Amino acid sequence: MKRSGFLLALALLPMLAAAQAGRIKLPDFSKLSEKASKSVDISLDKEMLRTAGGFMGGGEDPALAAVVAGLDGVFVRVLNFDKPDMYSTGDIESVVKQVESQGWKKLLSVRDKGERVEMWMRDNSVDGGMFFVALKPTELVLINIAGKVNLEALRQLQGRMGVPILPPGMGGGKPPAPPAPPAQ
Amino acid sequence: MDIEKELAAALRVQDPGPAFTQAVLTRVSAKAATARPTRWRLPLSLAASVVFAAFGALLVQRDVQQQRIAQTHEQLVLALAITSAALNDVHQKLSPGQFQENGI
Repeated sequence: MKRSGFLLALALLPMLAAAQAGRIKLPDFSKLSEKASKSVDISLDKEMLRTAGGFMGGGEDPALAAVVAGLDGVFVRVLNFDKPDMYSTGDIESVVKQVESQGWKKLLSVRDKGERVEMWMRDNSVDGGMFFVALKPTELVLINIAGKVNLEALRQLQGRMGVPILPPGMGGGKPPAPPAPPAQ
Repeated sequence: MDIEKELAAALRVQDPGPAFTQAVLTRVSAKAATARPTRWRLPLSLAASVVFAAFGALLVQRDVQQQRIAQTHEQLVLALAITSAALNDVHQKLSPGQFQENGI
């Protein structure tokens, strides 16, 4: 009996580790995405990030590698709709309940003209973790980042590769100067 | 008439003699001895085919892996761009009276 309990605990260890690393289970939007005019579904676990890190290790972009260095996973769901009211808040309540029950701290909550934006961080955690949800009439955005988000490293990316200029206080500010041309 | 006799003499079957037969047999046996053995040809061909197939599979696998890495890289850049845009959007919404802070 003790042995089976030990084996069960051993089997659950990876799941516990995943939970501790700030990863949350995002809902399955496969049916909802059929109604969407545009959808993005990105799931990059630690292994895949390492793979991408290896690609960047070839010297392509050290700033991007620095952003990835502390991350354990990046999970993004974006759904765009042609018309409003194509989804309900019930579609994301399971995730919100999940982060609430796991002791995440709501960093901010903005409700403005039918829009709802919430940002959650893991509290008292050395692993880090962020959950972001934005509900707009024609757009649904869910982002879960497991691991440490290096805003300073993210700042180095602003203005490049589709990363917008971040405002000051969010890692933003003056974009980094382009590298000086090599001396002749 | 002489022509007919000469023609008949020329077409008459003549035995080349044992020396000629021996010479022919000697040359045939010598040629057979110098010919390459054919018993290794099939295994060698098969081995070469396997080597080429393995090399081809290796190249294909490397190509697939590179495509996967490039795809992962693109997804990562897109994810970071979406995250940055979301943070930017939040920051623009943050003004007194429009939000409630929790814990900060």
